[in-house]
Amino acid sequence: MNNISLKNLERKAYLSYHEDGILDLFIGFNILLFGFWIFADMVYLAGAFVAISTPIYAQMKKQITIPRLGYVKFASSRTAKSQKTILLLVIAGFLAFIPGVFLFITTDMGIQAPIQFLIDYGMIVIGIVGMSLITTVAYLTELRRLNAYAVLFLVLFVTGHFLSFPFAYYLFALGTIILVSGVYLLIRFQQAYPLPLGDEMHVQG
Amino acid sequence: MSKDESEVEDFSLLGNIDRLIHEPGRLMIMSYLSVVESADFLFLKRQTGFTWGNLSAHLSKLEDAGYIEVIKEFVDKKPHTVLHLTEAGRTAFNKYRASMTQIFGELSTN
Repeated sequence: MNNISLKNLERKAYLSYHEDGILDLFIGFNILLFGFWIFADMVYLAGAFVAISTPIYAQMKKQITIPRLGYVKFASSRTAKSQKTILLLVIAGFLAFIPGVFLFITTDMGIQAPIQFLIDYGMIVIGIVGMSLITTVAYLTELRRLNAYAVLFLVLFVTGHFLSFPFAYYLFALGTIILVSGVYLLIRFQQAYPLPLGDEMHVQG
Repeated sequence: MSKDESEVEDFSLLGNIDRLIHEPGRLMIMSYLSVVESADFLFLKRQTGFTWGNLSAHLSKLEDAGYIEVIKEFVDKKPHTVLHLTEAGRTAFNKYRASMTQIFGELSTN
């Protein structure tokens, strides 16, 4: 017989709030969109859409997940972990500018090695960085399926090193796979947790 | 101390168990409420798998004992009922856990 662990109980309750696939939809949609902006040569719009889609994510949680699973306020230790994850993503976003600035400066100074390295191995570098970021988010959020997305990220971009498709195509592929996964999870979630019937709700008081 | 007196003392721990919490359904409810700050009825129903009636009956007993508090508050401008453990409830639950740990620690197959 397994021991009953309060820690596992809390973890199980927390993870049930992420079975809905909404996070996967959010990630997949933003990756797809990022690919589209690169394809359309409008990369400057990519950040704007993350800012717009974040409130949409929150609203989807309120409209889809909470009416099915109920409202809960997790303990502060869990909230602190979520805040660390968000902070990590914000920092990663800022740090992403640093290599770009470095390349700009070195190229301007006539040093070709860094930019040449990126031209030669850029896809592998992006694959490793992307995988590391997603794996870290997976660890902080305890959502193990994100590790599969991390591996997929690495595989796609390492494969891209040997193929000659436009960069945006790999983002289309990655975004589509994650989006489809999110849709599947959302449908499964809605079937597993149907909305409570109206006449049941009066018992709640 | 005679063998009989020693056995009675060993089993007196069992007599001190909080029977209100000891009931499996209420133990589940107390366990879930102990790991969150607050939750509503639907959350508890989903996590425990109880029917509304069953859940409501257990919650009434726990509320009458002062172990949980039912609060009506506004969430996003909509009235909402949430529950949380009271200090007395948390203390009782921790005491129950300690008692059970001691009991099972001392129950020996020898």
